[in-house]
Amino acid sequence: MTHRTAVRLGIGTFALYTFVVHWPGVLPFSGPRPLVLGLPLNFFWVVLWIVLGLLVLLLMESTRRREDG
Amino acid sequence: MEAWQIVTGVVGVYLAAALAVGLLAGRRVTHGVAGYVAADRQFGLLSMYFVVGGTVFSAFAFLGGPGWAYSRGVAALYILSYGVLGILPWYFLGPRAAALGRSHGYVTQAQLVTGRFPSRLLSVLFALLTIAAFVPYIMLQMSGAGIVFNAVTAGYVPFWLGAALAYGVVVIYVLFGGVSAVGWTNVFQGVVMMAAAWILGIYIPNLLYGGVGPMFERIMAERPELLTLPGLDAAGQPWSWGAYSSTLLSSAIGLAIWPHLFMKAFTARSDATIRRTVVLFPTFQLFLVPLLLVGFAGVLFHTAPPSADFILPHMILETGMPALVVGLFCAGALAASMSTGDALLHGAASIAIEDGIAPFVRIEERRRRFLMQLLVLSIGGLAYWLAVIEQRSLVWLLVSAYGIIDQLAPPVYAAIYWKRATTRGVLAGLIGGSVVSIFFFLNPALRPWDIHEGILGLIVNVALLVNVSRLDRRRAAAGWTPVESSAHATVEPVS
Repeated sequence: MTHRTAVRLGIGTFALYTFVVHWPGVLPFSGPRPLVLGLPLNFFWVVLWIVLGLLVLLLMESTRRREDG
Repeated sequence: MEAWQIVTGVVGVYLAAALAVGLLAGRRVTHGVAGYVAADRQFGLLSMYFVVGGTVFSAFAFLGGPGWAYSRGVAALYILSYGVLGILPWYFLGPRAAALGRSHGYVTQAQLVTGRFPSRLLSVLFALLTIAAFVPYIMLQMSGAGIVFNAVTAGYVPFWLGAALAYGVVVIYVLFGGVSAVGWTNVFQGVVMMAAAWILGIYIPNLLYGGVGPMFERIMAERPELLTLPGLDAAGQPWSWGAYSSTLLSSAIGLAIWPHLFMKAFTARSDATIRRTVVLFPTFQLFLVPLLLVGFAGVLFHTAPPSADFILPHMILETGMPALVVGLFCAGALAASMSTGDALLHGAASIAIEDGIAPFVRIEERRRRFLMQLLVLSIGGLAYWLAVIEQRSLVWLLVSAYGIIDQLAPPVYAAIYWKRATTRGVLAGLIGGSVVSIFFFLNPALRPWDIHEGILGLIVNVALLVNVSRLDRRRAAAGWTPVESSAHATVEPVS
């Protein structure tokens, strides 16, 4: 994957991230059930997006480093 | 030996170590402004990572966050959500600001903005707004230190003395070491606070409920209203979606713009350092998870703390933890408070001189550094006095500061990304946005849909910036003016 594609993917992911943690995007995940890994659904949802954010940032950085040599 | 004496001992060792690290680090940079404010642009990945993490995670993370989880339930999730969203712009903005800083000698945010939009009024407005936001934020850090000391020593160390001890250490190393001391103490403090958070966050729910899952099962059965978004408001009534979403958005927009954090772009050794710091930042964000768990663990606990901000120390003391663990928590919370407070104090003093005074009066390099040190003392003193006489909830203080900081975002983005923006447009937006933000802060009942005053200010700010710039016949030159004093433009080699 090129760095350009990775950055686009990153910006897309973060746009989606912005939507799904605010109203109304967060509504389907605003309740506590079911518990996922011991956490209420809304709590897990927020943590999941932190991890997704981390992964896409790692991808952006690794493609940039490869292209910069 | 009594438990509180052991705790005080552990904290004493921590404070001494922080002081030593700070003083040693300060000896490594040059004596000019570039050394004091921008550490000669020599921060590597390790120091940048902890500086950014330590600066963003303050006493609020250790006390206010669990306090929210305890009293307002999942409303606290907004704190988890905004951090990663808010740091992303720095991946693009940070290296750009750093490059401009290197080529034009900028060491503060306002210098960068006025480099593009030359205006002394703009510079002074930036300085005033920044300091207006910093003072409550520094107070918050000091209150945090006072609360921790007071709670874990069973009242033997009063609030005023705890805050004075922790901030005495901070003021000394900031005075003598500048931003370099801030950086290296933050590395040390970051390690201490992360270790403390994870140990406590896993241990306490296990001890009380046999695990995180069983804990939430019980809360769901007994206090279900706490676990449904958007949680509760300060009065214990259901919070509104307008307030939850706009508080989150306002915090996310403000995060990368906070001047003490933004200025750290000028301290980085390379652009790659800044980008990697952003990439690793979510790992810092995750350490809020165990802290919120401790707050939730307090919900069904049989005794209540004196106020929600005390929930974490309360849980630690009431669950009969070994004194050494209590000491570790105490050091972690102090580290969180101090690693933000030092950057704020240093930032406030640098900004007051560089942006508030230097555009009007020519001050020579050595004198400038001396004046900054004088200001570190006076701003620290003012915040301390306010923190001790006026004790407000930690979160209230933080939320009020974000409304102001948001207004600095349009000028910064316009300077870097919008060629057609003009000085008048930026000024009109900044003034209009700030007035609106302050108005709604003072009259919260008038906010439409409960929307955060920072966002309401931003709407006006951006509208004015765009329209006034379009109508302005005096097109701003798209170029950048370097900072006048030659001392800024050249970075001397590290001695």
